[in-house]
Amino acid sequence: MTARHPIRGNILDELPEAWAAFERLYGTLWSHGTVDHVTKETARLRNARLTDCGL
Amino acid sequence: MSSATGGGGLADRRRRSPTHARATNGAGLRVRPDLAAPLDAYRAALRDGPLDDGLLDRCEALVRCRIDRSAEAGEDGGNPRERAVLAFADQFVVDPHGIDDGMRDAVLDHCSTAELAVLVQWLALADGMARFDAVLNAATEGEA
Repeated sequence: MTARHPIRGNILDELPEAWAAFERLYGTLWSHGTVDHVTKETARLRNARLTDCGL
Repeated sequence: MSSATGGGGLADRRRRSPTHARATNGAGLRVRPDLAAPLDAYRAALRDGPLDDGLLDRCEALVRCRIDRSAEAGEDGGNPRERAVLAFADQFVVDPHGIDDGMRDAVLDHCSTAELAVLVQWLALADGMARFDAVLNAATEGEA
């Protein structure tokens, strides 16, 4: 089926202020806390694989 | 966002109304208080976007209802725009892969691309925080 409303580019570019705020939140989550980066990245990759996320 | 702790048993959380949905983001912030400020800023940035607060609140309540029953889902949308958005939200929380072009187009029939961008981010945030709280509240209740 072809979408009637094609979206060009990254939809998140529609709201740059929100995306910047998300990056600050994600950066805090990633850079601080007691869980080491290897564990965080392992969990991230597993979650991305299970949810078929390309990130 | 409220700094309420979101304590209480599951039965208490089930009785909460949709307007209390935002007050349950407590469990995660108890273990990571440094996330409160950037989380508040992100929520504020999304609320400053083109979707009205009432619809955002209804979407969040729906997510909370589906994940941990801490809010009431409320009535189906009163107009085609609300119905399309709430159907999208319902499918997002149950299985986002079930959102096809037709369901997305149904939203875009009534919303701009910018509104859709806010909607998906808002749903992702609500979904994540609800699951976060469900897991951590369950763990806390198990320790009690």
